[in-house]
Amino acid sequence: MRFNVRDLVYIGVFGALWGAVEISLGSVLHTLNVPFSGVVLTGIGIAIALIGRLFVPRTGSVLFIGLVTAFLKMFSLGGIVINPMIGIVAESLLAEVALTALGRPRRLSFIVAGALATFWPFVHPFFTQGILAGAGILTIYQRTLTNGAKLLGLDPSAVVLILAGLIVVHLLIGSIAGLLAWDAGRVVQVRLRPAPRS
Amino acid sequence: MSALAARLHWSTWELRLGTWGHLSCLVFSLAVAILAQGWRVGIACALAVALAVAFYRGGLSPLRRRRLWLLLGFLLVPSALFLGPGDWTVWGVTLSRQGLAAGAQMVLRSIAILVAVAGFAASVSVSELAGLLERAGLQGLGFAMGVAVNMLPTVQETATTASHALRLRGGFRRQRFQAIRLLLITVVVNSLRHADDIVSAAEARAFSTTRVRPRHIVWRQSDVILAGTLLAVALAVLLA
Repeated sequence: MRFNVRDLVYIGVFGALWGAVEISLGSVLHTLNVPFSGVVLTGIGIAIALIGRLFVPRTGSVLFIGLVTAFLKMFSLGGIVINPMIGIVAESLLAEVALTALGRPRRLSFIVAGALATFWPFVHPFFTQGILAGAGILTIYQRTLTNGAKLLGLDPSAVVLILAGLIVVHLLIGSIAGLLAWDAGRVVQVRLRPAPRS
Repeated sequence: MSALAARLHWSTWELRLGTWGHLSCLVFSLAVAILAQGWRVGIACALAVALAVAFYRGGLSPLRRRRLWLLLGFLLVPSALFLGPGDWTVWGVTLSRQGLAAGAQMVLRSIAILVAVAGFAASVSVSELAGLLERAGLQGLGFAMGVAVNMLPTVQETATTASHALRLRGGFRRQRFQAIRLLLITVVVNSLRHADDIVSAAEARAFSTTRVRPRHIVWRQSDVILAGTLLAVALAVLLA
């Protein structure tokens, strides 16, 4: 991945924008216990990264923005925050894969990239705990869900429906973020265009 | 620091490694912790903690957090209850020895990985990390990170000013989604105008990403010896 000076500066700026959102809004949302705060934060962050793709339309730009943001996150709490760093890098990687697969930037690719990126917060706990704990964690989750459903008098298939509903919510928020990024990005491009000489 | 630790000059016992040495310790700890099975996981955990004690005491800081032990308890207790047949009764509760063993493996693996990652992050500076990533093909990442760190206060100030201006105009009371969209556009536009100034300044100084040497990485002779030793130990643990 090779970027020129302008590309790298723009990547740094969009990394700073996403990092500012993570540092300031992230702690507020978690403190207020807002539902789905993780996926909302991801949606806003990935929207910023996708706008960055309009200004640096090269393969790897969204991934670079995510890497810069992940490093900025290290400064945010004065300690090592591995989980959010893994999340940010994974979200930007998924968005990058979607954008690269779907070709030139357009509304559909932004919507798919946003949806894929916001799917990660749903998968993230299973991934990190799976790495830490090994494959046995899946069996634990399965048995816990089954036994929990029996305890509450629920049909175990209801648990599957609940999980499916959560996935739909995540994908919907990501799609909206992608759409917002496309529309807002186009407006930003128009605003930054030099004014025509009279 | 306790009186005993002060008497033993505990802090000076930490041996010095270069960046590659710390990277070797991280790769070793992760590989052995993830690949080991059965009783070997215990050895992997012990080795990871021993490396932290010897080379990067900062890696032991996660072990002081109560939240971590709650999470590890969540790994251990359900395993003992749900994994495998119940063949052991403790205080009226039926547990599975097989599940308990599996849970213990998960806990030890988690500790090894957390200590290794925390130790690496505490020992290697951001610029050294950027240098490693640049050598791995992500050229220009260090420069982009420098721009981001310098732009962060400007971005935060721009966001604060724009949100105050929007709030004074009643923007967040009506059409909240439109207000958020407008805030995002304003902050991005102002930030990119600053970015153009940075680009002009860099180009005026003939800065080029193709002519910049990769960042200096600290490299010690002990790193080579350590890397070789860790490789031999890893093979011995995994293949024994």
